[in-house]
Amino acid sequence: MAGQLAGPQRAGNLLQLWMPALAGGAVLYLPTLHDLATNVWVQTAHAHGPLVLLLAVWQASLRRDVLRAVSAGPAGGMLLFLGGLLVYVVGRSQSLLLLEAGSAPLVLGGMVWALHGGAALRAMAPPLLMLLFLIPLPGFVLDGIMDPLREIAAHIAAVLFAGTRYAAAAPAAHAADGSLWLSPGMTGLDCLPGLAALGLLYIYLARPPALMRVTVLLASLLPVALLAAVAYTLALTLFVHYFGEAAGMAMDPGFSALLLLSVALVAWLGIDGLVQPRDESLQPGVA
Amino acid sequence: MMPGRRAVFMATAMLGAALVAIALRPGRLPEPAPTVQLEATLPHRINGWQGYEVANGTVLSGGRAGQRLTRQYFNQDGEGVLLSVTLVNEAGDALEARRPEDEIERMGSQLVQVTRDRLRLPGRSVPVTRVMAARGSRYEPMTYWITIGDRVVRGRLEWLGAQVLQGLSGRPVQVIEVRVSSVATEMPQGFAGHDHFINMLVAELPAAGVNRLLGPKLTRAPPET
Repeated sequence: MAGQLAGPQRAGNLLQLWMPALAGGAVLYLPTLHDLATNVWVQTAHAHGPLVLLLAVWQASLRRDVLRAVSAGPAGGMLLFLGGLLVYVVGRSQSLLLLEAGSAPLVLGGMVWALHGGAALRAMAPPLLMLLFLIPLPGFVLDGIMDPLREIAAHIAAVLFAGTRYAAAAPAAHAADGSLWLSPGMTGLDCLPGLAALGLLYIYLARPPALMRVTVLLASLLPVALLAAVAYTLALTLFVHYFGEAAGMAMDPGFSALLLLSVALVAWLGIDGLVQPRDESLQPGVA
Repeated sequence: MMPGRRAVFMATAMLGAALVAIALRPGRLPEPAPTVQLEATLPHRINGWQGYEVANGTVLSGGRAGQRLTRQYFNQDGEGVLLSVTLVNEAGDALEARRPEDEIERMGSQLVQVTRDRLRLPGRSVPVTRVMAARGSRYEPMTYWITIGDRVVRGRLEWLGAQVLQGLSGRPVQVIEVRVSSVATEMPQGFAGHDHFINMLVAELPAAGVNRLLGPKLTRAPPET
């Protein structure tokens, strides 16, 4: 292992060691968190941000024991840290939130590596990687994911309701002239990428991490997103049919997210439940 | 270095980074040239082509408010060209920006072809993007370019790089997008009509306007042919 261990640290010493670093981190990232909270997390597509941040902090706190090893360690940590600071300076000064938020795993990872050695960095990798989900997705990436999903969902709703009295209320992804036009309420689908992010975290946190289970859950990410989107579109159609277009437009985004989350969660738990018994039969020794 | 001292060094470096980030914000130096007034800069008559205002107002571009002037020019034979110039005084997020070809499919047209080309002008050549779109039985060829500060950019990475370099230099990051488009019933074989129109337009513009619309840097003399 790189670096020399200078003996185990008591909690008090650990706090003393990290106090200056935490203060510096607060100076760097409290403004970033403020920008994220006021500009990004309020968007449906990034509403999962605070939850992911809490999960990352929780996961890091579970691993705090690895920080007891103090390393006079490798230069790599310092390089990672300084590289992260450079990314931060460019991102913060030029208002590029992607770079600014993206520097956090580098800066924090560099600090852990430089102060506690490579083993501590490896142990802390999962919560650090979770921070990647805090980086706001660029608009063109989001459009690339959401445009086809909206179209498929609207198409399925149109097919299902064709010829029924609900047909007129079915949402459309295109206006009559072919241009992209979203029915009111269809923007509620924007929380699906966030759901997928939470799904990935669920796969990581769910135990045991059997290969079969992880594979099936990973493979089900997209179908579950599609299922949730279709269920949401059907609900929206009925809602608009009974309460009118204006009500569809005024539909609370929080309610949309809750509806999608419920459908996705039930589907996920269902799939996970189907896979689990097979896991146990494959690994009879695991309790 | 002992871990304790290293932690103090890191804290100092972070404090320094926060201060440097504040110091490097764009806009701390004045503009090198006065802001372009689109209405006054773009001539109404260009060598026998008469321009008619289609739209002039505020638009949202890359999350920032900008000014867009759209004019349609006709010549005596009734041929028409649409000129649209958008000016944004503060660069939005390069990664949020929508390129014209991204908008075409959202507007219900079909994207036939996107190619990169160089527009030959007297004494310079400008990197432009040629977009061919189809809508029903009509074809809509478009030639466009985007300047960030003083350079013409193509693609998001170039945009991002130019924005960061310009921003770090302290000057306000002005973004100008120039589009020239037309309508044809058959797929045009080239963009010669656009090039001809832009050449006429540039000949009528004052030198400062030319440099602002085409970018003085990254433009090279056209190769001898």
